[in-house]
Amino acid sequence: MPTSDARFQRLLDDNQGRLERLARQYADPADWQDLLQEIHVQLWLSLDSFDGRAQLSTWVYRVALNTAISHRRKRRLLSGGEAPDDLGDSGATHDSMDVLREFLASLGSIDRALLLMDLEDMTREQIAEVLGLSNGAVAVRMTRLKQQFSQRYLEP
Amino acid sequence: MTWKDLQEQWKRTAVTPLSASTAQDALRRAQRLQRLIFWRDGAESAAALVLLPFVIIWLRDAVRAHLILSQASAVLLLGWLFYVPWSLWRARRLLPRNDPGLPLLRYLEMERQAMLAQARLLERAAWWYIAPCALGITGLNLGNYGPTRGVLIYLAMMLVLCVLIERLNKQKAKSIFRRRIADIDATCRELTALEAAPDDTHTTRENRDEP
Repeated sequence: MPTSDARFQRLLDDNQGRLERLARQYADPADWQDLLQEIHVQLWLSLDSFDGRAQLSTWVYRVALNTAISHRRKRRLLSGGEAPDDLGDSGATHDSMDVLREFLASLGSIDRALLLMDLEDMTREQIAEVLGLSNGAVAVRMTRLKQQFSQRYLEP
Repeated sequence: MTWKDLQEQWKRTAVTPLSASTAQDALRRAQRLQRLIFWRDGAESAAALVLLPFVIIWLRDAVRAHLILSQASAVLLLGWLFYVPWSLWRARRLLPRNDPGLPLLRYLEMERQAMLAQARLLERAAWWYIAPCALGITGLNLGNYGPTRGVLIYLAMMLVLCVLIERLNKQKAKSIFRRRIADIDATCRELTALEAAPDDTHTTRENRDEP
């Protein structure tokens, strides 16, 4: 396997969990694997343009998120619908995860991305870098989203 | 159940194991995509090359026969044969592949520009793609045979076809590209609104705080 292929395979290995969880949140159960493959292709095509200004993991997430948002838009407009996202069997093993997925599915692309990145334990700086927003804007929105979730699901 | 617990559970969610050939598969798909783009780009140039000798022969015959209208029409066709591949090449060159490694807002702006350019190309296709060819062929026939009934019918049919294609393309551009552009605009507005949202929570909590 050539070096670049080995490097790419390592990059996929290191980020597989995050990429799969992202793909599952931006595509239907029937086509999340298509989205994941599309993300892999975009990562391969863009790897040479990675300039090292951001952390590699942040850059990977940015490529994946941009690809996922475009994919979701195409699919939604093709199906001609404003229909809510189909949760399907998204591999949930816990009830709380189902609740979380339900909440994520009710959000728009940007809010969903914010919450997903927080769930992946990315810092506010990294989230701001991925979305091209200021740290303050990320902090404000994140607090509101968590409050919203808490009011809806965590409080009795 | 706290947010921290949810975070931990989320990261423990089972994922499909990656196969050893995933990188190779992605590479193969990327190469297939690049080949597809290459052939799509080359098709216009290949078609122009095939037609080029015929148009040159028509031009030569028109010059020999001193038929001004036929000469002008052959020159129009010749120009069209170069113009179509060139304009497609230029459109692609002006809009290089969008880089998904850009921050989201910048990426969306680039995507919007690409959609707009594609929508415009499609909306005007009847006039830069079909009309010059139809006009050139009509002019050649008019120059060679005069205003025969057949030539006039052909001209009328081409005019109707151009108008029809323009309408259909406009509809298609509206239903595909313009809708996507509206959706991109909505996402950009969402991002801009987030950036402008006042901090009325007065929070200095760190990223991993509980809600």
